[in-house]
Amino acid sequence: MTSKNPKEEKTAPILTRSDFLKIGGATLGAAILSELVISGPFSPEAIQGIGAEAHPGQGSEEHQWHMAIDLDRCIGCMYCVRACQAVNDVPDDNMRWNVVFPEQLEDGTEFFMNRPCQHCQEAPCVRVCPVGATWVRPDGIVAMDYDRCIGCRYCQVACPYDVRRFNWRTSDAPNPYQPTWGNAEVPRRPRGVVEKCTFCVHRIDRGVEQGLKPGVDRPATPACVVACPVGARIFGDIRDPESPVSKFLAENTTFRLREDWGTEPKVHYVRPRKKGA
Amino acid sequence: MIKKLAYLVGGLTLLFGLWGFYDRFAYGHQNANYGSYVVWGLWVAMYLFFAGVAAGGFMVSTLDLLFGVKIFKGTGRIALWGSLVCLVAALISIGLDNGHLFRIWKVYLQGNPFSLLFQMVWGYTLFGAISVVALVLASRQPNNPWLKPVMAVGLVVSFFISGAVGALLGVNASRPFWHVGLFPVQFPVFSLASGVAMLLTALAFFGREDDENRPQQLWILSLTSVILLIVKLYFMWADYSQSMYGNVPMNVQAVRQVLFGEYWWAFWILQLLIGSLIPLVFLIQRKFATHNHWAGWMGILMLVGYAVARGLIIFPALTVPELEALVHAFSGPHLTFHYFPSLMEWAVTSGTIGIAILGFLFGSEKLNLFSNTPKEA
Repeated sequence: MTSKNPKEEKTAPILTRSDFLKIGGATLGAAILSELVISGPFSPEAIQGIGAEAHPGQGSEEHQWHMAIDLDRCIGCMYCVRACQAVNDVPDDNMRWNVVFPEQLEDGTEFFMNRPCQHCQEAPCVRVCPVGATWVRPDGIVAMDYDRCIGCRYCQVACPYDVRRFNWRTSDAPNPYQPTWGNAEVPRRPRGVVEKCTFCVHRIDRGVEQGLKPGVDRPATPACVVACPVGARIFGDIRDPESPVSKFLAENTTFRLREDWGTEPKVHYVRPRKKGA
Repeated sequence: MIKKLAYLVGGLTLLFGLWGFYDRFAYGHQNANYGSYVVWGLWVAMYLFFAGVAAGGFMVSTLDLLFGVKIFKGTGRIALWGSLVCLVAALISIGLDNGHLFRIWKVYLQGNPFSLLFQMVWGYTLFGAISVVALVLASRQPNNPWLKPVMAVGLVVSFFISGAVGALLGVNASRPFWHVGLFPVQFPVFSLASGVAMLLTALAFFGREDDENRPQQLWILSLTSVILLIVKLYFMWADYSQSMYGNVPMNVQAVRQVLFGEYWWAFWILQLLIGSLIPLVFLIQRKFATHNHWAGWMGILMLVGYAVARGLIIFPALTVPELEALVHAFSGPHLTFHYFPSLMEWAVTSGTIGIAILGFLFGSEKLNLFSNTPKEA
């Protein structure tokens, strides 16, 4: 007959240390895995495709938004630039989405060049983005998903018009272009993403939803168009022959920037006339 | 002696780099000198360089591990480890260049397959996995029948990832300086040249003194380096002369920027004189090419030249304004068409180089790379 050592009996564990580690490790692993699958990078929401399919319901093919800029009318007052900065909350001048600058024709005629995003139908920036953070919506607007952008800046390299800006720092400074009686209409972007002019897409979407006509009704029209005191910017739906932009394009000879590159931009320009002519 | 010096250089460069890494993580890209016009800077150039050495290192390792060239017996694992270390350095460099490093998983799960960058991320993942498997097999089971098929697939992938770097730049029609059909063809050649220079340096500095194959290995690698240097110079001549002759303004401006503009010293002194002509003169002479220190230092000079060459591909194309008047349109800290890397950028690159040097040294000891027989694990 063998006698049991009482000490051994007392200390015999239900779970050994290695059992504990195995169970603990497996539980932790299962918790992490389920977190990844439920709400992390492996969740159905995260694996959502690219472009328009990842953003259903945004924009409709019924409309095609275009802008015309009459360079002959522009007086370089910069109201459009400031309005853009106020509405889209762009406090830093070096981040401007909408740029106006003095230029000269070959014959010496001076004018103010306007350069918002050209919203190309065949956008080079869209093709190169590795995560589909930028895409052409069914209504032709080149949109950005700031939560998806990884900040590689490949789109900036690809853009032939230099319209994109990288967000260098977290800016919590007040926006000097915002009037005391108003608020920015879109949230400020985080550090480390690329941002650009959106044709004030939030105004267009809200306006269409409310039955307004972008380009005609001011609350549904891009801020730069609304702010222009001389009517140098015209906006609207080119699928609607009665829209301001359709009428304007029918009545004027226009050109688009770098049209020969096949980018199909949606901003049309009227060439400035020689002064005194 | 040279190994101690290498450890010292690796340690010091990493030490300087720690400050850069801290700055990068604490303040993002705020203290970088690239901007909204010159959107890619030193880190992207160094990514091209390290990725080139990684792909080239793999290509060279196939001499031993795939084709079984007798004279290169034992060099395969060295080249493979150098390739892996450089791949890590390349990914650190490009990772830190991203605005949101920790969103990189999106490329895998929310990626745009039509983007060259997407294809490259997947390519590097595959390449890294193949390199690890090949190194493990070559170190633990050199006679495993899977080694050669793995190396063969890796060779194809290494050509893909190096050519894709050329395509990554070349597809941008907005940058005529890059938009050259020959770009994706040139890059695998550049990669092979960097890989050969890396192996030459490693063998010359750290190879076994009593290895009877070493002088012949150094001589062959030196001559190969010279040939690849000449091919590279020819590519450059073809590229620049066509650009100048074609007279497309953006293209001519970029080439002028390299030859006579703000980067003239980097081109004429660092890339041509130090990185090409001096190594060329020494390495065609057998007595220098088979001399450990001479061959090693010439390898270093060539690598410096290749790194500078990468910078001279990236910067000039971006310093040419796409819309001329933008130069005066508005100003700000990140709105300039001139670019020279900031101290923080240099520090991060220094840290990356330090990681690569120390990684190579530690690994070569751990894996017993410079002995003829792999260490049994």
